[in-house]
Parts: sequence; structure tokens; C-alpha cells
Amino acid sequence: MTYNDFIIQSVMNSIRGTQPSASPNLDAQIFAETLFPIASQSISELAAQDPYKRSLLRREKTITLTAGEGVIPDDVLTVYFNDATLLNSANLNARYAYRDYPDFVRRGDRRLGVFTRNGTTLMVIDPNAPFSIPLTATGNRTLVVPCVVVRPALATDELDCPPEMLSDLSAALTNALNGMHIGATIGP
Amino acid sequence: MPSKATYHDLLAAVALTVNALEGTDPVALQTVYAKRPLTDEDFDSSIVPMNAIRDRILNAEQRLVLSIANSDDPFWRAEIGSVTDTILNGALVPDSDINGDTIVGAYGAVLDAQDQTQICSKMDIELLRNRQNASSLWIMQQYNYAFIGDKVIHTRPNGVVVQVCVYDFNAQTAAFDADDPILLPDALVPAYIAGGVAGLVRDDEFMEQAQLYAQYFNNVNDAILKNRTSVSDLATMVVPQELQR
Repeated sequence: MTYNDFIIQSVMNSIRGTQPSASPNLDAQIFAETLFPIASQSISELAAQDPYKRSLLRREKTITLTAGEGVIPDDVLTVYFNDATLLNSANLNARYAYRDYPDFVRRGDRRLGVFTRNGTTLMVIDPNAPFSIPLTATGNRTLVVPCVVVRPALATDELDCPPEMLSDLSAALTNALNGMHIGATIGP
Repeated sequence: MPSKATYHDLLAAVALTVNALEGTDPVALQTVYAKRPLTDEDFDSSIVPMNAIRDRILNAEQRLVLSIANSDDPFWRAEIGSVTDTILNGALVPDSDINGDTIVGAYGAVLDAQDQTQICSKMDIELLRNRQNASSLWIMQQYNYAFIGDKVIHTRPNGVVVQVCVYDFNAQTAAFDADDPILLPDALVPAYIAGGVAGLVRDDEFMEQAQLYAQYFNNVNDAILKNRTSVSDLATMVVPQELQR
């Protein structure tokens, strides 16, 4: 479903049960758009609380490392960052595991590469490499991590939201348009 | 296309009512009454000459046009409808249409200039201002506008056009002189005639019948202003006994 269709669907649903011409939501696309990121954040966090639904939110992010560090995109759900996996598409034999920062620094078993999050910075040590300052990993890595459903670049673009979650997101936006709590009818 | 009454059909009807047509016996009067086009020689009144009758009929037309233009009935408005040239966001509302004719009455629908099947809806200026000042928050196409003073504020990148009503007195005078079909629908022929007769008062001549016809004309005019597409018929008018001969 495109973002355009999704917004119109939510606005239409918010009018249901009222006299359309008297509904404050008759021309509410302008509000639906400003509410979208709030509804999306809320529904994504609710879904991520469920380990099974969380997998629906996992997205591949290509991150370029310089001196072992790269920028984590702002749509990443950092609360569930420890559920992320890291790949080196240039060397699929290299395996990485998430470590909390203290364990990342202590390094430990060098057969595995390790990664961690320091604020909005991804830090990576490749397999067999020691912890050093500065770090040494370079090039692109693929981070697979739970993310918030984001607004696409164009209204005609597909909304990157699994169908399983789409109805929850639509219900949340409809609630918001009707002045209700966003998660009012959405289960965890 | 169905034939339409011409301006000289109205001229004959109104002139007959004020005894302005040439012809002293019924046959001669009938001949002139049916003649088209009528000329100065077909008139024989020292009270109202031919062009004075023409001007009163056109005055009635102007009043009907203004009422139509101030109504929001799309069927009536379509008769004298036009559109403006493209108006960009923040530009002044023009006083003439795309052909340079004078705009009269209220503005109609606001359409996207590029795709005129997309009708814009009115929105509060405060919302439009927010949208303008934080435009990155929105990526959907929005079709909204507001008239503020003499400006149009809207959300269409390629501008809007506004449906308007137009009237050009000089063009209608020329159409009258050429005995062209009337501007408004045939259903308003009785109103044209009533309005014309209502305007033909000189000193104390034709006072009573002018008032009577004015009453009918005003009823029609009010019906249009109240967006009633059906107007009453001249035949339903109550005629005082002294005028019934």
C-alpha cells in the first residue's frame, strides 16, 4: 500500500459513523501526515515488545565504517539494538555478535567479530582483530535491526510496513485523528 | 441544439406591452409583432423609443445575471460561467476571466490549474500558513485554498483557476442589435419580459403595470438568489382587475 493510500484510508476510517460533511476529519490529510510519525513510533514500539512481531520490523541498513565506527540511522529502535545482527557482505564467513560496551572493550574470544552501540555510533571489531584505539574495521557492513516504520520519500511510494502490522498502524492513526490515545484499541 | 428565443422576441413582447409597436389595426400589429429583426421603423411611440426598450431588457438581464452570479446554484451559474487564468499562490484574484471579460458576483469552485478535475476545498488560513512555513512535514498532494482579502492562498504548485461568472454589457448590446439568441435560458424569458416592462416607466405612464411586472420579476430574482432552480411562471401572477381588459 502506498503512503498516499494509507493516509487516505486512515482519514476515511476516521470519518466513519459520522455525517461526513460535519466531520472535522473531512479534509484531515494535513493532520494525518503530522500524526503519522507519532502513530508509527508508537505502533512499532508496541510490536517490538513482542519477540515474534519484532522480526517484522527488522530492516537491512548498510553502514559505512571508518576506523571501526559508523552512524546508526535514526529510524533504528535502539531499545532493541541488542537484537540486531551484523554481516559483512564482502566476507560472509566473518561472523559478528552484539556485545554491551564493556564486553566489547574487553573483547574476549577473537573468533567472532563484535559490535556495539555507543549513542548513535555503531562500533565494530572484525574477527581475529584486537580492541584498539582507534578501531580498524573499514568498509560497508549490513546491520539488520528492528526499525520504526518510516514515511517514504514520495507519497506514491510503498509504505515499508508488513501487512500484519498495517491494520494496527491504520487503527492507531484513525484513533489519533479522532482525538483518542493512539494505542487505545491496539493490543501489545 | 434547441432553438432559443432571440432578443427581438423579447423586444416585440415588451414593446407590445407599452404600445410602442407600429400598426393601427390587428393585422398590421401582428405583422410587426412577428417581424424579425425589428427596426426603428417598426416602432411608433413618443414615450419609449426602441433603444430605450432594449436597454431596459438588458438592465433586467444584468440583474438576473448578478443574482445568478451571487447564487451558488451550479446549473444557473453554468449559463454565464467561465474560469480565470492560472493564479499562483498568494497572487491577486483577477477582475476578469481568461478571455478578459469582467467577473461578476461570487467566486465559484477553485480547481487545480493543471488537472481541473481536482476540486480544491477551503481551509483556514492558519493551517495554510503552517503548511507553508514547515513544508517538509507534508508529502501528500493537498488541494486547499483560502481567499484572504483580494488574494488567493493555496497549496497547488502549478496554480489554481477559479470558476466565475462573467458579463459584458457591450457584447450583449451588440448581440441584441444583431437579434442573437438570448444569453440566459428560455425559462427566464418571462423574467426578461417582466423586468423590461417593469423598467419602462416615464412620468406617470405605465406605472401600475410596471409595478405588477416588477413583482413577478422580483419573485424570480429572489428564487434564483435562494438557489431554487425552478422559477414561477408569469401566468401565475395575480393581475388586478383594472388591468384585465
